[in-house]
Formats: sequence, structure tokens, C-alpha cells
Amino acid sequence: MRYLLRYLGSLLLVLWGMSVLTFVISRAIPGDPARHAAGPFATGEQVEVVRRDLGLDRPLLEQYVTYLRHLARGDLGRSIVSRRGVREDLGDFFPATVELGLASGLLAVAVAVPLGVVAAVHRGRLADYAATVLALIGACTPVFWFGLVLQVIFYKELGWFPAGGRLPVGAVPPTPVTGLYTVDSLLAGNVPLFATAIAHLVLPTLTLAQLTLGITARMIRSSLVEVLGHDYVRTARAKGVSERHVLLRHALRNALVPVLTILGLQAGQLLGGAVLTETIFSWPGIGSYAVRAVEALDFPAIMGVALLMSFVYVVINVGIDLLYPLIDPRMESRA
Amino acid sequence: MNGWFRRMVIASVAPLAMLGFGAAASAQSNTVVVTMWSEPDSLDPAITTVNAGRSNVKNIYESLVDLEKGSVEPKPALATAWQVSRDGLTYTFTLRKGVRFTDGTPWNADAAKFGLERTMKIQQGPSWVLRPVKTIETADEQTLRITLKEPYAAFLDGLVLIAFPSPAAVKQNEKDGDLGRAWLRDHGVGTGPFKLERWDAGQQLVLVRNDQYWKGWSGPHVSRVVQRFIKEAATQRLMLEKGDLDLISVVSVDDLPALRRNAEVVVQPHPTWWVFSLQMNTQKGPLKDPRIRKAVAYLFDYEGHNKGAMKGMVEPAHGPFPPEMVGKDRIPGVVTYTRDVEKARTLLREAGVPNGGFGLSMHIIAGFDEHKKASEILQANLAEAGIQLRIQEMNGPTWTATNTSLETAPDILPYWAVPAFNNPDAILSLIYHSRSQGKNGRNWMYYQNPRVDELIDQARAVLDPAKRNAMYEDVARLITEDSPVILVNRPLNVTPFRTWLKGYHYNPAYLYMYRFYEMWLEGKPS
Repeated sequence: MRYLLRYLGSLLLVLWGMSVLTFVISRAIPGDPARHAAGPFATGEQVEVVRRDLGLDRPLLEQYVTYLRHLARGDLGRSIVSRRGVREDLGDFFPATVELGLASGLLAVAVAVPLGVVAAVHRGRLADYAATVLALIGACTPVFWFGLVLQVIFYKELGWFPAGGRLPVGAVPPTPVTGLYTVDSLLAGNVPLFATAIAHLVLPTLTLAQLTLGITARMIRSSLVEVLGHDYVRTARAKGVSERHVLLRHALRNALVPVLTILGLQAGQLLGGAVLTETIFSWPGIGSYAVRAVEALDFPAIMGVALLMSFVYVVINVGIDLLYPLIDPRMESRA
Repeated sequence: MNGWFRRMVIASVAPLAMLGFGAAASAQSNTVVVTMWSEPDSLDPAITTVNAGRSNVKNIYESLVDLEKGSVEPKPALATAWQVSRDGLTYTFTLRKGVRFTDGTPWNADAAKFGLERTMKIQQGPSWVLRPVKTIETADEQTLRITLKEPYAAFLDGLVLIAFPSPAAVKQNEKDGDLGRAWLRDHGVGTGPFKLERWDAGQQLVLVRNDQYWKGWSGPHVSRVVQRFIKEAATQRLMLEKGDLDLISVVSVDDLPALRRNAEVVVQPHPTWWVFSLQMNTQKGPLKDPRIRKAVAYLFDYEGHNKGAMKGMVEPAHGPFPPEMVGKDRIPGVVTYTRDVEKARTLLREAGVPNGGFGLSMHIIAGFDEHKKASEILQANLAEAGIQLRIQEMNGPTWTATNTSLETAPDILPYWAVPAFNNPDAILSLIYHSRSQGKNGRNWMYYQNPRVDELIDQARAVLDPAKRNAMYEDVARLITEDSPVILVNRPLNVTPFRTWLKGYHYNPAYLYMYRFYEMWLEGKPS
């Protein structure tokens, strides 16, 4: 309990720090988003009307205090670009990123764990080299290039998967519950929609997963190699425990501890990679939303994204901290 | 632990097992699917300033007058006829009878007055068109009278941009005196051929035909329009070639040769009204001297930029506005600068800087390919004459902010002059009039020529096209003589579409705006 309270405190501190930081940085850049929003034909008067409308004519401190006051009510302000509430915008764009992030995170782990285990068990042999090369290729391939190649092969040539978007042309999304189309379509009992949502998810998921897959597999391999050399593994083997049991019960479980830490930190990288992936696959996620916001110096949207991302980052890492005791009961006391 | 691990693996593998369901994209043959490079900021006709918004407004709403197919002459739309008083101050419109908004309320003089006044009160979007308006009166149900403060020759051309929402819907959905702005952002109640079906943020905007549309639906028409928001040009091209899209809004110059070879895709370049230029600051630094400005204009490698860097997807510019706006191919006496290093050296000698030896600043917008290419070419060209060009990249709003004050404005900035309608005034008043300097418009050259100002002001009020055009020709000559700007090119527009899409008409006044009512599909596989 005390642990959770401590995290809640630090979460609030991080969010407040983030709000100050993004506010100061975004306002420090000389820029005139009002003129931009008023359009290319606007007269000087029209620009001033837009500026007043956006509240950008007020002193900076007043703008910040107003922002905080609204924030306390859960109001993130109105986006300059989309001209509607940032909270509504995030509500539309964020679930798409979550869906993509979860899918690629799961895929990365699902492939990286066996790959790492095989490499560690057969270290120094062909399987190890093959796994290493595969992992390296994954880690070195530029996301943008990889995405385009997947599009050309699986969309243009083979026609197996769509080129982009979350659903087919003109399709009606499922009633939003979680915002994840795969989950919501299942909740609505709409299997065809679920299948097509999955089909749309495949290429972007592969693209994003390859970013973290290689490094995760390498981490698992080295961590496992180290653990396999420990005394307790030798003891287990000496007791006649089966190799499979030794590997999965004793070694892998311990080897996963550092891997989990890396995974938490990589959540940030996944979000970064999402920007490019979302652009290639017209995936309407927070990455493309953030780019649009930065291009137009859309202050409220930039701050909304920054706050949400820091929130997510903290939550993921708290979640990972809570997972440690599950893997290694000795860590219970620490938590 | 083992169980946890197994569950995780199963969770991640299970969806993959479903892959066989594949890409079940189904397009009905009467649905046209196009891309929009960006998403609308709003569907409110009094607010939107971006092409995606204006394009949808054109399909959901209507104006008093409109442009049909490729024509740039205003034709009757919600008004069937109009008379202009001899002094050019009073416009009397006869409104179309029997037209209803999609909420069932009638279109009449009150609705017209309401729409115009709403636009003027909101003071955003296209409200600048209505700046000359003094009074709006309803003579009877079908007659609207607009009186101007001063005659404005382009008034009718501007009215094409003003569209009318249902007053009843606006009033019903008004919140905190916002004139229905929040609601009209993502709702549409107009008289146009289409209604908004749905708008999924970041994904698509779908229009469906308005069955009650006054022009009717006899003859071939599309009945549903799906606009997908796709930014990446490579993805758009792939989807067009595959037949998943009927028309795309953005194409990379590098993709054109391949698209041209595709017999199922129409690739037709059309001249735009845009003028791409490098504006020079006439009020500070070395470029205050017109001889140095001219020297810079003679140093720039037009051919290298237009044919090399832009791969011929542009035409050389002639004059500060498209000469066809005054009914000409070329305007006599207008200097078209070409690269002439000798002339430039002579001018620099005359200006007392034979070997250059000074520096100039240039601000460009990050991510704008042509800004980058033009700045690099100019940098190399100027270096030959001993002039150092410092290029600084920045985002759009920052670029704009620095331009609006003489202190922070760069010596040179790239600029696309984009006229909003078919009249040179759309460019001249906004960009070359001294009234529009800095914060008051887009004259970021800080260019001042009293004779140019006078002619621009006078021409606005001249209703006789021949007389007016002669004045604009004088303005063009004066500007090119003063040389505040390097007029680089006019971009060509290519809007690739499938051969099965019929009825697409390029209209320079409606660039990136599509009139879906005019389109139909022939032989599109369903």
C-alpha cells in the first residue's frame, strides 16, 4: 500500500514537472500558431480574433494558471489544429497506439523469448549464430524501410493484408468500449469485423515489433547464458531435474528479471517507433497526432500528448515493478 | 510462472492464427474512395481554412454562386440570377425556389442573410471576403440585397467561398453564444448534394448522397464518398495502383514515371494559379538596394531548379500573378528573369559590391521539399558572386512569426502565392500592397511602392474587365521592375485517378477540392 502511495506521489510530481517543462519549452519557441490557424488569406484583424479565441493573447503566467485550473478538472484544453477538446482527440487517437503497441509488444516477446532461449542453449553453435544474425537484422533495419517493404510484398504483390488504416474503406468501427477495435469487435460479437481488424493490425505490428524484437532476444540470450552458469542450475541438474525443467523453471525465470526492466524502458522506444509506423500505415495513433501537433505548434495538443505519454511511461514501469515478485518471490520484500 | 508464460505466448500467437481472414476490403461500385492528405480542421463553412475542410464544405453546403466543372466563371447556384447596380455597390440576388436544407427547413432570403451575418460575426475562415459589405437586406422571401461600402470587382468571385448552413440547426445547437461553431465542426446541415455520414478522427470522413438534393440524381453520380486520411505518398500510390483508391491527392514527383506507364491510371498535369517565389526584404540589409535584388534574381538558376530539382513538374513563372487572370499568356513589358551571371556582376559592380562579401539570411520551413531545394540552389548561386547565404530551417508557425516583424524577418524567404479566386487582387492586395506588411497580411518583403498601392486600390473598384486588366498589367510591370521577389515557377498539379472514375474536372480555383456530384464510376469492380 505504502509502495503504491509512493508511486502515486511520484506520478503526480512527474506529471506536474512535465506540464511545466512542456509549457515552458513550447512557449519558448518563437511561433505564431494563431496566424497559422487563421489560414493563408486571413487579415491582421482575423488573426487577432483567432488569437483571442485560443486565449493566446493572455500573459504567459495567466495562460499557465488557466491551464492548470482546467487540468485539475480533467480538461486538457482545445486543440488549435482540430478545434476540439484535446481529451476527445486523445480518446480517439490513443487507443489505436495502445492496440498497436500491445500487439507488437506481445509479438516481440513471443518471438524473442524462444529465439533467445534457443541461442543461449545452443550457444556457439549454428542455431546461436542464426538467432544472433536474425536479431541483429531486426535491430538494424530502419522502421520506415521495413514498413514499405512489407507493404509492397504483402499488400501489393500478394494481396494478403491491407496497406493501412484500422478498418476497410468506409467500414463502421465497433461501439467504443476500450477503443481497441479487436477487443471491441469481439465484445460486440462481430467476428468478421474482428478478423478484418486483426488483418489491418498485422503489417504495422510486424514493423513495430522488429524494432524491439532483436534487442530483446539478445538480452534474453545473454541473461540466460549468465544464469545457466550459476551454481543452483548445476545443483538442479545434479539432482537429476530434466533439462527442460531446469531451463524453464529455474534459469529462464531468473533470466527474465533484467529483461523485464529493459522491456519497461523500451516502451518509450515503441512509442517513438510508433510515429514512423503510424505514418506509413496511416494508423490513426498518438504518434501521427503528435507530429501534426508539433508541426502546427498546437500547444494544448503537444502538452496533452506529453502528459499522457509520461503518465503511460510511469504506469508501465510501476506495472513492471509489480511483476518482479511474480517472477522472483525474493523481490517481494523489496517491493 | 510456467502458466503465465504460456498464457502470454498463446495471447500473442492466437491473433496470428486468425490471419487467414485476410484483407476483406469491400468497395461498392457506387462508392468513390479518395485520399485527403490532411484532416479537416472543421466542417463549419465559417471556420475552416484547410483544403480538406473546404472540400467537404463544397459538397455539404452551397454558395450563392459557384464554379462548375473546369470553369472559373461564377455561375448560378443558390442564387438563380443577380444584378449589379451601375455604381457597383448594390448586388441584388434572386434566390432559388424550392431548395431545402437537409433538416427540412427552407432556403430563403432570411437564411442567406443569417449565413452571411454569421460568417461576418465569427470573423474567421472566409470572412475576409465579406469585408466590403455594408448592409444585407431581405427585400422579400426570394430576394437578397447586399450593399458594399465601396465597389469591389472581385466580390462575386469571393462569394464562391461563402456557404450557408441551416439557421434552424445553428440556433438549435448554439452553446454559450458560439453561433453553433462547436456543433457544426463535425455536423453538416446544408443544401448540398451530400450529407455527412461519419467522421472517424484520423481515419476517414464519409459522405452519403442527400436524396432531396434540388438538382436531383438522374444520370450517373456517385452516391457515397469515402475520404481516407493518408499522409504517406508511397502508400497512396500503392493503393491507387491496386485499385483500392479511385483518386489520390498527393503524388511524389519520383512516382510519376511509373504511374504514367500504368494504363489504368490517368495522370494529367494542370497548371495551378500558385506562384512560387523567393521574397526579398526590401527594407533592411543589402537587399534594400534594388540593384542587389536584381543581381540576386539574375544569379538564381531557374532551369536548374525547375527542370532539375523539380523534375519539370512546374512551369516558369511570368509576373507576380497568373497572366491568364488578365486574359493573357504573357504581359508585355513584364521582365522574366533568367540566370545571367554577367548581368548580375554588372549590377553588383554598380551597387559598389563587385565581389559580394556580404551575407544574407534565409528562413525555410522544415519538411517542405521545394523550400530546401530552392534554398540550396540559391546558396550555391550566390556563393559564385561572393555572397554567403545562411539557411535556417524552422517549423511553419515559427517561420510565420519571424516573418511578421521587420526586425526578425529574414533577408529571403520562399513563398507560394496562392490566390483564393480568379482575380489578381487575391494575390496583389495580400502580398504586394504596403497595407499588408508584417502582421497585417503577407507582404513579408516589406515592399512599398505608392504607385503599386494606388493601382491595386483603384483596380478593385473598376468593374470593366478590360480597363481593370490594363491596370493589373501596369502593376505587374512595376513589381517586376522593382524586383522585390524572385518569381521562380508555377507548380503543376497532378491528381492521379483510376480510368473508371469519370467526371473529375480540374479547376485551378478548387485545387484539392473535389466536386463529387459531378463524378461517377464506370466499370469499377465491386
